[in-house]
Amino acid sequence: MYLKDVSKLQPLFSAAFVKAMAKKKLVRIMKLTAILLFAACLQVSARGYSQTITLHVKNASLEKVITEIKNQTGYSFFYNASWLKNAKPVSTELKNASIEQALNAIFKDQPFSYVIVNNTIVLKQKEPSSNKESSNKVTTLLSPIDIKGRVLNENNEPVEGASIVVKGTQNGTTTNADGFFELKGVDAAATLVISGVSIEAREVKVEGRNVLNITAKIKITENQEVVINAGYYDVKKRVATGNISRIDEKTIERQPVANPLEAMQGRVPGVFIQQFTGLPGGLISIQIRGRNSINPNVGSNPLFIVDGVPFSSESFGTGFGGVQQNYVSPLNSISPSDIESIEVLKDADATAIYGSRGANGVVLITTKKGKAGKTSIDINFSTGFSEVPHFMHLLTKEQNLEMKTEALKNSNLWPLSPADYGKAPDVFLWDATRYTDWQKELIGRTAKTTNARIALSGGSSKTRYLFSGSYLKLGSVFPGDFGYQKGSGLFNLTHRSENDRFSFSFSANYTIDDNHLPQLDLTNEAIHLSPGAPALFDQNGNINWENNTWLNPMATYLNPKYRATGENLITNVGLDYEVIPGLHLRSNFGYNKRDLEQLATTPFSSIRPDLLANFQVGSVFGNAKVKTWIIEPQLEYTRSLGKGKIILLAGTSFQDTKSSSEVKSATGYTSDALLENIGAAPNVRISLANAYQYRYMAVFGRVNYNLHDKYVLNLTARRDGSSRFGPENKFGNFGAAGAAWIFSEEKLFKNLRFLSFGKIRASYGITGSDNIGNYQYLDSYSPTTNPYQGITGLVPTRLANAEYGWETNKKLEAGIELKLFNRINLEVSYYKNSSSNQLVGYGLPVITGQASVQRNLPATVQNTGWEFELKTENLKGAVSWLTDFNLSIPRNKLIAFPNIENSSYRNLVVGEPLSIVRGFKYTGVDYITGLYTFEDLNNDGVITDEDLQVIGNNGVDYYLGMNNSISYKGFELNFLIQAVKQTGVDYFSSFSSPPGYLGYLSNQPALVMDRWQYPGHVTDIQKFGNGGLSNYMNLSRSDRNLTDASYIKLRNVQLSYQLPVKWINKAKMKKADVFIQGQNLITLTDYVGLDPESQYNYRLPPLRTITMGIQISL
Amino acid sequence: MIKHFKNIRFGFVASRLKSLARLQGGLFLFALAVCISSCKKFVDIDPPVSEVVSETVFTDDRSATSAIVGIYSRMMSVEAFAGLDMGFYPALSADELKLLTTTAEQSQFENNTLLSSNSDLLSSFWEPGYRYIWYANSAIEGLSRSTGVSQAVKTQLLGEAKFIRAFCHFHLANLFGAIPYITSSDYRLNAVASKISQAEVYNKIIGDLLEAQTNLSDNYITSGRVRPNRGTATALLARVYLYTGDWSKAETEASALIADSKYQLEADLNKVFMAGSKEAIWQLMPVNPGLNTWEEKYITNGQGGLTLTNGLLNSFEANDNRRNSWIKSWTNGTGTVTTYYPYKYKAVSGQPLTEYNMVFRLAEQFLIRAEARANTNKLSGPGSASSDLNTVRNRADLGNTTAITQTELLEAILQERRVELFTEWGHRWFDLKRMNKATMVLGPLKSDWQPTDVLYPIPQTELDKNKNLSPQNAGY
Repeated sequence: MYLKDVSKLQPLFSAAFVKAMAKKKLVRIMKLTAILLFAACLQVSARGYSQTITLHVKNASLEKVITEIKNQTGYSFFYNASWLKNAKPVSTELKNASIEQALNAIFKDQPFSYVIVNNTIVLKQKEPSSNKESSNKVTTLLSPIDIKGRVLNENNEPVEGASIVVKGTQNGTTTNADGFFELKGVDAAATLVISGVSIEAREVKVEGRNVLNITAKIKITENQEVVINAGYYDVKKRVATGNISRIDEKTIERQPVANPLEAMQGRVPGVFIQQFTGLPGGLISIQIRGRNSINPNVGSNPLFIVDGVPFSSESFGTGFGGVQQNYVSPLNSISPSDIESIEVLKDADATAIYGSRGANGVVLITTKKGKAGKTSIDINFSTGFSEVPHFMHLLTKEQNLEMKTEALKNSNLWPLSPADYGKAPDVFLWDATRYTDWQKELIGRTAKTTNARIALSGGSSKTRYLFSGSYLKLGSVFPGDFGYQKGSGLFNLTHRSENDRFSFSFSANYTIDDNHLPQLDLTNEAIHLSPGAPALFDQNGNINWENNTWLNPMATYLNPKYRATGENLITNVGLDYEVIPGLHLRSNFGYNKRDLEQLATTPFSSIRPDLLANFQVGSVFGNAKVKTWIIEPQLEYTRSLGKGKIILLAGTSFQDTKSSSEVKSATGYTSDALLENIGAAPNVRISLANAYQYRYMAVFGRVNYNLHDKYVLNLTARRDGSSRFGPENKFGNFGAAGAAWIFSEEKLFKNLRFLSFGKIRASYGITGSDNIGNYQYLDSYSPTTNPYQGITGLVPTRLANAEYGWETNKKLEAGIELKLFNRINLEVSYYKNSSSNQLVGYGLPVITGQASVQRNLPATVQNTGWEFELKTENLKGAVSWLTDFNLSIPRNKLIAFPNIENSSYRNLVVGEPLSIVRGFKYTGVDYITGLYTFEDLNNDGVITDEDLQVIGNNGVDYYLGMNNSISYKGFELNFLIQAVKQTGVDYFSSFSSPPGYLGYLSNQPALVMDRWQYPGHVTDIQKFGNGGLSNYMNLSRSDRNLTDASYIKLRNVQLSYQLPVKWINKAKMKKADVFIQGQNLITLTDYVGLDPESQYNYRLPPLRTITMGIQISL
Repeated sequence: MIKHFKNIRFGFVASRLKSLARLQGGLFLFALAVCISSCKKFVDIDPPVSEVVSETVFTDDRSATSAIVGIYSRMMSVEAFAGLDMGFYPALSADELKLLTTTAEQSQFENNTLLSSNSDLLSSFWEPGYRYIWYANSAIEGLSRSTGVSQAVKTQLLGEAKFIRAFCHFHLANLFGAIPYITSSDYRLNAVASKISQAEVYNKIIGDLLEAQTNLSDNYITSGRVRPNRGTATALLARVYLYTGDWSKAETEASALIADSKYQLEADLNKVFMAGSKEAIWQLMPVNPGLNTWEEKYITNGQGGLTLTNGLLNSFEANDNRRNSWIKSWTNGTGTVTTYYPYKYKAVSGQPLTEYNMVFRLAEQFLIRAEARANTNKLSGPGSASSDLNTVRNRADLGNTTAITQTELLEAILQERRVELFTEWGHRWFDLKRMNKATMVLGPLKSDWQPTDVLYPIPQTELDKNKNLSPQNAGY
């Protein structure tokens, strides 16, 4: 039916052609010698180019004119090179003409017409060229037929401007905006060659059919052609001078995760991401190229920028506790499904334009934008479950009893006096027949997860929009009704004026998340509770307190609730006006508002009846707000200079952040039912009221010179002022120089067939950090929470130091990027960063009144490392197989610290990494006493801190990730394997008392049964009992506690299947995929404990998640 | 042709350059001018609304008073140090309390097996003690610089600050032995401060207390006895003289308080720890809404979690009314376990605020004077050790002491201190140490006892950060 419409749409280019063809009975099939040439990629950014054309040419070749238009506008051309032989010389006078005007003038007398597809100009032949014939003519017996057809991509979207050529001839046409085409007089046995800028070329046999529906694969953009967002500017990877890694939406979509950082894990070289907990919304740390600060408490968080708005990387919360303590990831409020790309800026060239905030790298998050075309609706729904992937191997009830009995005997406390029975109730008071696997009971549930998203997008070439809503629900592995929910809405609008000189973009992203959890992480209880502990409920279904001999976790841990509700709004307006060709005046206006409300309740029902008077029954209400606005006016000028192109950028930045937080404690409630109502509490106290303002301004600039896309020089500079410094030290200067040489463009290398692309780049520069908290220079007093005799007290806030100044972070980087045999992309980078004049919270003895003061230290920390990234196309064609491999080898070293022995950093050693550990050297269990022994360095007969020595390095040796992507027909399989070689802390740290220690009811790992039992017994575990407490405590400070925490994780697997087009068309859909996804599926490790990544066994380990779902486009 | 084309191109560029340079330059100059004038101001921000700049604090009487009152508020906001812990942990280390459920940290105190890494050691004593000293020093410096505060208020507040400084150092020195005596708020000096001997610490305490005595007024400047007056400084001074064996001065200072009609022993033992107690010399007022004293924790914990030791329970003479009024028992549901817990403070959370945390009370002054007199051989008759001792005994419905010789009397006074002051402010632990009786008394009771256990170890993190705090106390 639609074919009728097609013929109406065709006259522009096919009328003459059709007539000419109709006259011939036989079609001579010619060899198509020319290969389609793709001048540039579809996604060339228009930014930095003029939207008008000025040309004065006389009898210039069309090729030259095309090149000139390319240079002026950044548009690409798509055509068959052989066609240009028929082109006529061009003479024209154009001044500030629009692209359409220019093209109309140029192509007026040419045997071509054109269409503009995005930023690509696709040429079409007006007439068939019949004057050239191939020597190998084939005559067929069949009569020619007329063909009508349509080309769609994998997503069932029409492909505009695709070229359809009859193989062996120059007979061809191009698809229109809806993907339709028409060819007349084609040999019924002919083969059509379909190609285009956005699709993979393919061939289709006509086989006598009159109607052809052709599906083409979307072309994967060449690695070097990807356009990267560098923050203040865009750059094509090919000519980038800095080190910027990019993760696209496809990769993010593949993972059933709630936090964008999780989606990056294992995929970016030089970026180490660690999940601290499996609690929903919990902290995920990110470190780019190692730790720069000697103070472990100074965050190594990078600068996060979401849609141009700086996003505080500090953990957001009022700090009053709850299950997450302060481990709330700020990036929770960004929904991964709304993200188009994440860029990680690593070296000086990329980060110096962020000046004082670039020291730890920059992470740019860009949300999704609408695409031109018909309105499309995308629906994504998935559901599945999460669970604790691995439990600890703990003592059984029998072993636990044996341990405790033996411990009492060893401590000469057997039989225990009845008054002390409460210290070992599992031996003396509780039902001897009970056995509970507390891990299963308390953290062993499967948590349901549900994820849904619907997006509406579309628009014209001038105006595009996207609206999406998404919802995520994560259950909890704890018993009871707990969980995490997140809903988000994204609206994005871009508009370009008719003459393309003015453009406007608006985006708004609103997220609400609601975290509802018990107040304490039950993992601690699950690991430590005696397996002989009593039943949770008595026969009547009431909480069983077993005569007040234990703290029933069902009440004590599950009844106190924690609830955190967050709201986050990020809006951004971008304006761009082309004052004169090449000169753009633009500005970003960003606004971010975040709110967090927290509630923690301690109800009567959570407290053992006999302890009621001891506890403050009540609620804590927390409330935190952050508002940030930013304005960044900029000027950018692009023009030719000499034989190359120069881009100048100058801008300023003004940012203001205001934050306040408040915590109220409400007590004296008479009923548990009222706990969430602050009005029902007789006593309300404001236990915290904080506010701060942070202001930041900068002037920055960039000069980029590109000569023949072969030599590129990039200079950036920035002057920053921050309110976080004292009056004399508010401003600092930063900058970098970067250069790239695309040597594969040199004649010498052009002949090397195996080398498709080769680039060497290097950069050096200085960045800084103002990640130091606010007002640290200010000598002030703060009010006390509780009035005394009705008077509010005042106490000093901090130790103030008005003299600290900027720290400097010097970064050196060199890299090589190669593309070999057209299918192997290799990138190797080396970096050397040094951080000096370290600005830290300098640890003080608390006899000064406080534990630290903000100041500069003469210390220098150096981070060096190698990063490798290898992308290979192992198989092309019907089965395609891509591998993406990355490896990072970071090294960290304290290279200078004068007078270190008199500082609070005496535990560090110059010449060694910051992760060095001083401790005792473990020398085994004494076979006579049965106690742990350590090397007595000073031979004084006792183990004291004088015996501490360097015992190892608690850090990461290297980490790698390998993603494979295999597709066959409609199937696609992706899996990511991540491996980390590291040292970590052993299980002792999570078991604070020796096995069987009286009065402390801890279960232990099963391996403690190898304990020492009799004089002469040679073993590695100390005897049970109260003796040897200090030996046990020293053990966790010894090299015995440093253990191999390396692991290999099957981090992510996705299998998807695209439903056949026939079915989809019947259902009037464009595309439909079904998929199954898994996260943290398998972990291989020797680590004793719940998880080598989170290590500490009192925190819930990262969960294993499996979901399945469907993705539909309408 | 190519050449020609290039010429055209350059012509176009050249024609643009001038106008562009003008425009661009103009814009830049404008932007730069705006920036330079406004930027510096842009990043100058006001102090946060939640804080007061130090100079402002000491510009008037009201806010200067807040800077002293803030210290008491902080002392009573938490259990640490003054709230509860000074009465609790030393009672474990001595022979007063026994825990039935415990934490690893607490059991180290009870078993005298403290490790320098014990976190309670830092958070309950060292850290809050020195933080209050920092508050006091900051106030002393602020007041000394101030011109806006009236002389009368300034004198009173300086007296309070110096008293607090002496008070905190006194307790720290009794727990840790040789410690630094901090008299400045300058962290650059304090970060490398050295320890001085316990005797030198006492000298400095005496110096501060003598100044406090001069500065503080005789009357309590607010209602109740919750802000230190001259008597409060005198009470601590009497104790310090006693601890240092300066008997005559101890007697003089204690006598001054005993002679003061403001202070009377409460005949009713149940009223001793009440807010209006006549026996009180200084009390700290509970500040947490809905909470009474932190000692209520004893009561609740007492129900199964801890018990007074048999040694202490058995040391009460028959008919000692303190045994009935200040101790309560609890028996579990099955009747197998009975515990005894201190019941000096009786009000629990939610009840009206009727009791204050007693820091100094007159009964101690009688016992101080008795001990001082016994040591100077004023053994019997009016104005003797026995008469003071009997005053305290009689109040508890006990008859006069049977001790006659100096040794017997000193022994009787130690015993009386034990039953009068149990679980208050570390008295028992400090008494056993200062009389060198710790090993004799505690050695047989505690399996891990070492003579060096009389001092707690200095927290390891402190030694790590300031090498002048070395060496660690012996035995750790």
